This record gives sequence, structure tokens and C-alpha cells, in this order.
Amino acid sequence: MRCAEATHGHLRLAVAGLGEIIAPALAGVKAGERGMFALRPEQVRVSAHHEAQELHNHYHGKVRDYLYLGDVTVYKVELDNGVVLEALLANSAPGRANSSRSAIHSASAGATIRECICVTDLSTDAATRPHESGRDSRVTQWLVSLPPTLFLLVFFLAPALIMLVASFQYPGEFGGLAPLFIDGQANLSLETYRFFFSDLIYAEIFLRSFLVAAATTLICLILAYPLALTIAHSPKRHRDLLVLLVILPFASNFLIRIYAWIILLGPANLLYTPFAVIAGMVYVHLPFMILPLYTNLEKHDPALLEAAQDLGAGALTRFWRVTFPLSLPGIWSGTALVFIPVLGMFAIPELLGGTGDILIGNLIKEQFLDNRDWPLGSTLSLLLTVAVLVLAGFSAWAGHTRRRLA
Amino acid sequence: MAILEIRNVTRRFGNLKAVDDVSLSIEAGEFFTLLGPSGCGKTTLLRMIAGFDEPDQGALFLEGQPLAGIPPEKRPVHTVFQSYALFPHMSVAQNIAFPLRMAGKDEDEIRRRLKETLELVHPQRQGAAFSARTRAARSSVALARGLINKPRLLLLDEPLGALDASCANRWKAS
Repeated sequence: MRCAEATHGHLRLAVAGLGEIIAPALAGVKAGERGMFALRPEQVRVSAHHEAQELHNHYHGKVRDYLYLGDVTVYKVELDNGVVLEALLANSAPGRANSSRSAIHSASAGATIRECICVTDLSTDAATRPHESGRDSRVTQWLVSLPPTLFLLVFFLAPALIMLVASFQYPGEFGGLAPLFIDGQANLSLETYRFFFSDLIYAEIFLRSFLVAAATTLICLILAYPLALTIAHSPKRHRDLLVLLVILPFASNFLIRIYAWIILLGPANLLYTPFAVIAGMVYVHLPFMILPLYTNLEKHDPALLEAAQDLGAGALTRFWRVTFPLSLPGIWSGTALVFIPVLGMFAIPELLGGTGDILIGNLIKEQFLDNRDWPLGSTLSLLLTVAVLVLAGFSAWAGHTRRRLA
Repeated sequence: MAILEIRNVTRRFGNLKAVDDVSLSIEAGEFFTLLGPSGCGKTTLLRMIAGFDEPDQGALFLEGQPLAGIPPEKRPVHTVFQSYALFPHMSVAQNIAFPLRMAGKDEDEIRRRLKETLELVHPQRQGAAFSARTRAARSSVALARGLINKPRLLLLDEPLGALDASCANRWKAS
């Protein structure tokens, strides 16, 4: 085939046996070049009527042969000039079915030669090629992502940088920060970092926070998994209601719900204990584990479980070999949504926990509001952020699984 | 003796009789095809043979033994599903070896049978180069998975659609 014309929008190809074909533009193809041209059978449509004359590429021909292959049918169409095109049509596709079925019926009625029109729909093929997105769409993409990017830069990156600088500054005499420069000299120190690493108590609070977060996440996972599975397996018409029930607690204020726990735990002599802290944490964060798990489990193909059962897997094996590995993405997102907020949570330990139950969140809050030591507060926040990032990076690396039968 | 005997099997869904008093007997080594328009009960019959459904009336016998009450995982009957139902989180080899692992076979035997089965369904492409990107390749994997543990009976639910003719003939022969 020879390329007759190459413009920004399309290619005009001169193809031996087919004549002229309009194809989507392809970067690097110039007019006058020769090359190969392939037509996917599933991109060829067959219609009995002249319904698609307005499409660029259509040919008149006769159905010489067809083969019914379950959910698709293959047609061999001989064009008027003797060239044979192969077309593959889904038998279930709406609209298409009519024309293909009429072709089947007429063919099975003995009329093995049927006049038809072959339409090659090359535009759909173009949509699947990523490298053909032009400069226009890149500009659009950039414009669309600009507001969120700006938001993150102004309200996330900038404060983080301010905190980074603040962590090296001295505290002001009455709170706040001491000036950054005194007499043209930088007024910075590593004092807060030295302080943090000099006393084991901070490391201990960090460790305790991570343990509380890990325990909360694990309990949430154990409680959420059966519930998410039940919702995903319940009849479709009930699912939305059940999901609504899961998020219903959000309708009442977070602090009110925690105060309710005070009323519940007080008479049981469990208030101000580590148990109370974990119970409150689990209670508040449970929906954040249920929802991503449910979203994942709901999408599982029930045929996979049937296949596993058919091939000899009992109920437990089916869960561990099929359901569980397929739900790992949901587990990861649920874990992130529970673990990270719990790490920074200060209200629950403050209201439900005892003096020995303070977590990093409380420590940070204390530095800013009570001790007026902003540099130390900034340091603690930064170290927490770094720890979370390291952990997230590690889990991303550990959870990285190759895409297999994609 | 017939490997599979279906005796006066009826299955109703509400008012609909999906399978109405079907009796047939299939000999070992026989290649038996059920033909009919969609909705005529082919899949329902296959599901009853595989054990996912039980007949309302009548009974099924595999090598003379009644199948009633035996769960699908205990029946020496494997199915190649219409959608193939390949496990997306497993490699091709893990998919095909799945029935052997379920049967508790040791690694040596799994490796040997895997090689044999791949040669059978797709002699020209093997090992690492074998991928399941195309429909035909996926159907080969599903077929290999159904065959590998040598079931007494292999059920194919509209499977030939994506098998190319040569492959179809080859495994029919085997």
C-alpha cells in the first residue's frame, strides 16, 4: 500500500485491491511512503442494507462463507473485484446482531450468496492508540490537572516546607518562632532533632503509636472482611442500603460518637485504658476498611470461584487461593485509609485513653498548643511524615505484584 | 458401561422448565455435543453434571455411581467455562497446574504433567514464551487446565468459538 496523503487528522491510503482507505493519522507517516496495512476482522462490520454509506470506507460484496463460533460469527466476504475480506462480529452486540442474524438466516435458508456492504470502522482502532493523543489533548490534560496541582502546592507542599524550616528554628519567647535571621546570621540549629533522639521516650511514643495503628488496622481488617464479603454477596437490590448503613455513623458528629463511648466504657471500668483507645480507633475507622474492601470484592467474577470449585478446591482453599489474593488491592487501600489517620489521631487517645496512652498526635498537638515549642512540633510532624512515607514505600514495594493474565 | 448416564432429569426455575425429562447415555471416549439455541438448557444440564446444580427429578450417574449430593470439587468432572474463568492473579503455568495442586500432587509430577499438557494444547508455544493475551491462547490455557488432572469427563461450555480449527482437531484427537 502507498500513502497518498498524510494530514494532521487522517491518512489517505491507496491499497491494492481495496482502493482508497481513510485511516486515522499516524505520527511519522509521510505522503508517498509505502508500507503494510492490516485490517482487523473485528473492525470490519457487515451490514445487509446500505445503512452506513456515510462512513469513509465501505465496499460492496457477497458473503461467501460464514462460521458461527459461539459468541462471534466470522464472515468471509468477497468484494466485487474478487478480494476476500474477513469480518468478525459479536453475536450479542446490539444493532450488529440484526444485520448478522439476517445474514445467517438467509444463508441457512440456502441463499449462500448474499449481497452486503463491508464497512471498516478504523476510527475505533485509533481511539485505543495512546501515542496518537495530539498536542490539544495534552494541553487539556494539563489544564484540567492545574487546579488540584496548585491546591496541593499551596496547601500541602508549601506548609510542609515551612514546617521543614521551622523544625530547624528556635522557639519564640512567647510561642511561635524566633526570627530566621539575627543580624544577617542564620538563626538555625539541630537542637530539636538532638532533643528527639536524646530521649528514648519519644521513640517509645512513636513505637506505641505504630503498634496502636497496626493493631487497629488488623482488627478493622478482621471485622471488615466478613462484612464486606457479606455485602458483596447479598442481592444487588440490598447492597446500596447495606453500604448506606456502613456510612450512616458519619451522619453524627465524630466527637459525639466518642463521648458515647465514654458513657459506655465508664461503668465497665474500661475507660482510660489502652483497650478504650483501640476500641474507639476501630469504631471510628471501620467504615474506611469496609468500603474499599467491598468495592473490590463486589467486582470479583463469580465464575472464578466456580472454576476453582470445579477443579477441586474446597471452600477454604477457594477463599485463600482466589478471593483473598484478588482482594489484596482492596486490603492495601483499606490499610492505608485506616493506618495513616490512626497514626496522627489525637482526639481519641485524649478522650478515651489514660496518661500512658498518648500517641504521636497528642505529642505534636501538645508542642503547638501547650508547650509552645513549634520547632519540636514541626520536627515530630516531619519525622512522622517521613516514617509513614518509608512504610508506604516499603509496602508498595512488598505488595508489588506482576500483572499476570491481564 | 456408560461413563455418564442421565436418567429422566428435569430442572425447573419457577415456572420455567429449563431441562425437561432428559435421558441420555454417553460412552467412555465418546465426543458428545449438545446443540441448541441459547436458553434451551445446555448450560443447566452441564451445571448439573458438574455439580453446581441438582436436578428436581431424575438422576445422574458417573460410571454407574449416583452423583447426587457430591459437591463439584469432589466430582472427577472438569469444566471449561464459557468465559474461561482463568485466575487473573496467577501465571499461565499456575493456572494450568491448579487442579494438580488441589489434588495434592508433588512438584515433580506437576512439572512433568505441565509440560505434557502444554505440548498437547499448544505444541508450538511453550514455557515462558506462552502468554494468554489472545482469545485463542486463553482458551488453550482453559482447556489445558481442564485436561491436566485427567478428569473422567471434560465438559466444554461453548468452547470452540475461540479455538482455531487445528487446535480443536488436535485435542479432539487426543
